[in-house]
Amino acid sequence: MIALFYRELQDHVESIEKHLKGKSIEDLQSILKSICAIKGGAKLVQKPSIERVARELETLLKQAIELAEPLDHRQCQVVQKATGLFKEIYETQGLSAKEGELKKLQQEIEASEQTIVRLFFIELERQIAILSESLLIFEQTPNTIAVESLLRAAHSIKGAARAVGYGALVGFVHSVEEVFTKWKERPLSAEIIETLFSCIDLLYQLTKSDVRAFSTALYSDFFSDAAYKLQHFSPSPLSLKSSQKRANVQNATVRVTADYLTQLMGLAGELLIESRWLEHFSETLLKIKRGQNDLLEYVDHLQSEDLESRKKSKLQQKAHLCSKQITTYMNSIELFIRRHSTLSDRLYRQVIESRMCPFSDGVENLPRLVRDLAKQLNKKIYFEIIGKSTAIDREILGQLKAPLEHLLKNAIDHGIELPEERVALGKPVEGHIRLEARHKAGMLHIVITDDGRGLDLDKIKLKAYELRLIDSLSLDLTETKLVEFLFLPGFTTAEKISEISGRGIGLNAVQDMIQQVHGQVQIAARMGKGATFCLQLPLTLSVIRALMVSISGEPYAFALARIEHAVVIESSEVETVAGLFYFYLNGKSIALVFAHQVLGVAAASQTAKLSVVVLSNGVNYYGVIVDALLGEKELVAQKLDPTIAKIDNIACGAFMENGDPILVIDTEEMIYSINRLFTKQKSRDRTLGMGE
Amino acid sequence: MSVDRLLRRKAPQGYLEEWELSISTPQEQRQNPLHTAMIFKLKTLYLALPITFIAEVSALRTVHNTPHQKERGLINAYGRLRSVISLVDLLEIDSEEKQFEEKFFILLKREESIWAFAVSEICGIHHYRVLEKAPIRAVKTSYSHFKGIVTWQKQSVAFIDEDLLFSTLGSTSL
Repeated sequence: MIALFYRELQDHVESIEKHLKGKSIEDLQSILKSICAIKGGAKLVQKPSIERVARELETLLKQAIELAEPLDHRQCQVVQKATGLFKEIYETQGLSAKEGELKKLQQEIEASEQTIVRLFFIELERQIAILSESLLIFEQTPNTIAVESLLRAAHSIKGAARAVGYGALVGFVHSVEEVFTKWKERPLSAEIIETLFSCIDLLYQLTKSDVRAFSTALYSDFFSDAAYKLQHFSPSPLSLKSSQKRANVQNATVRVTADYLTQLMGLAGELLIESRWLEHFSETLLKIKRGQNDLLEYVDHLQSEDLESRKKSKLQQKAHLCSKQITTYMNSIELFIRRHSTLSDRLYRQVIESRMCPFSDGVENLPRLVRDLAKQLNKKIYFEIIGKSTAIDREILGQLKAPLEHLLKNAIDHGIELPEERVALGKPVEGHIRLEARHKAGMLHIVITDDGRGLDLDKIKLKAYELRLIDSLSLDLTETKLVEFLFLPGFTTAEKISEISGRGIGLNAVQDMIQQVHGQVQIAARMGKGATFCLQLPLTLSVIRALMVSISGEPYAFALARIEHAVVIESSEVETVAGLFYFYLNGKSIALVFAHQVLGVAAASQTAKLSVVVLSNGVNYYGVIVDALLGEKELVAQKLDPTIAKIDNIACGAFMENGDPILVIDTEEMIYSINRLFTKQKSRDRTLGMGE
Repeated sequence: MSVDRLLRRKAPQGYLEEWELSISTPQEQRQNPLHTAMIFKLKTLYLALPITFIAEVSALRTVHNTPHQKERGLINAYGRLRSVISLVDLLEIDSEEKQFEEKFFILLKREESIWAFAVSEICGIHHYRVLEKAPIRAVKTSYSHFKGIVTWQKQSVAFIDEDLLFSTLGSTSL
């Protein structure tokens, strides 16, 4: 058998060598065939080392065929090495001597595989992020810590690039290392830093593209160019500032799908509900204990004539024993219930918290954005982020990106003045923008402050007058009221629209986005001194503070942040105008509608008093009549399954304390539905001849 | 090539017959592999569904009505909100008693969709090979979506056609 195999091996090796000389796809394919045959034969005669090498060669050939490219020099070498080894093996008919070499060859071939390159890309991406961050810090404040971090990242990239054989990159990174090792004697110019940034950008793009892009000559040239620049630039020092300390803590992370966490949360929630039942149960046990005690009392009070003293004492003994046992068991179950409750409570809280991530995760791109924008507008900006480790709900962070970017753009474009202006005003030439995230009073506060122009309240008033939002200019409006105008769509005091801002849609969109996550935006400004934007958000989207109500005998909920009022009124307070119902609250007339009408569910019995939840879309107010107000509760939001087709007017589901489902109403949708209902009613009344 | 030669060499005497005997399955078994179904009782009817589509069995929970959709409800099954359908209505099972003892919910799963429906009893898991064809009259319903009949503990159990069931469910969820 082995002899057979070796004979075959010889045939195949000869064939491979012949076809290696050719450069066509057919040659590659026939080489592949031979290799497959060798692999199969090796498996049959149980020579795993040969089989493994053949397998690696097979992958190599397959890739080459897929890329429709002939084998490059290095790959040819590898194949020749393999055939050479095979030749020696069948000539000497001895395998054991060649085992080591075969293994080395196998590993070598592995290294030329694409998968290694993919790993390289992942590592490269990571190191680029660190490189970019450190470079930004260095640019602001050249210091040793930033440089050390830069050098570490560069070193890692160099090593990785060498392992996959990207010479141009190795050369480039090496010059980067050299430049930074000598940064003190030879300070980096702004140009060089710019070059470095563009190199980083290019590298980042390359990690997103396919393998081939990396080895084309175009990029080799680019990096060789950059390396040259690095070696030959003229040093010019950047302005020095006080050094910054950087904490570099990296925790090990695990990737988990969002759905997995939702399932975990569901189970943890159920566990909590079950543990509450246990508490009720322990109370019923108390009843048993009391019953026991009563029994004991009766036994004790048995007159001695009713029973023989011996029988009575036996009875007493038994009763006492039972009573003692119950007490012991009750104590132990109470202890268990307490432990169980604590554990399930903790589990629940941990799972809810797992939705959190640090603030820094979502703001990674902002420093770069600020820097580039400042450069574009010729402004000098000092940007700092405080509270990077503040925990934020993942989803909220995702929604925050766009508003934060917009607010920063505003601050840089409109807020901070040009350097000359600032000096003339006696301000430091560098504009200061601060982004801060912190927890305060159970809410998340995100504050963007700048020390720029602030808000021109008179301009706002003028614009409001122009747009006929106010009747006269002599109205005395507080800053708070004036500032509210800024949030209206289309409102802007900018004279011209720049590419960056001024269109008047931004703040309105920001407010929308923030309100969608049940938050609020507040602005405070001092004319000439700067502006502060404060975003108040709930700590987590998964927990909604809600008002529970009963509609059609079933539980529903309104998010507290989305309702204006909740009142109970007498039916006598209801007025009718043109077929529609109204009532008055704080001087405002509020249209009334039955919740069950809007939701299309059965009506409950009428009561003399009406429970009304007042909603508003900022312009109009609507009163929704429910069966009863049940109370306030923190509910854990459950997204509705895709199987459950989207239910109109319902935002999501949740569970009550006893595990029963409760539906949370989407206030925006409901207002829309109410309006539709009114329009329908009005048109119906009109057709019926009931006009106004 | 050598492998070729190796594999095509002549087999020793009686070798082929010996192996054929030991690995062959009886004709009947090969044509009728073993299936598994879950049998449950709905009102007075015994029904069965392939076990592959049964995700969970849950105790009775409160059903919350769905606004705008009278045919569906919502329950809490192991911490997740699930859609409830009425199999009674879907299969058009008519029965004198309007109210019946609902004791459990069976959760059906196909791909990513999960539906729950209430049943009176969970009878157990049954293995079978063939479905017998039974006259429709034997089953007290006007619904023709049954694949056949299985006999279990002297009862005739109607086997629901799951493809038809899921396509009906799919269309009503739009």
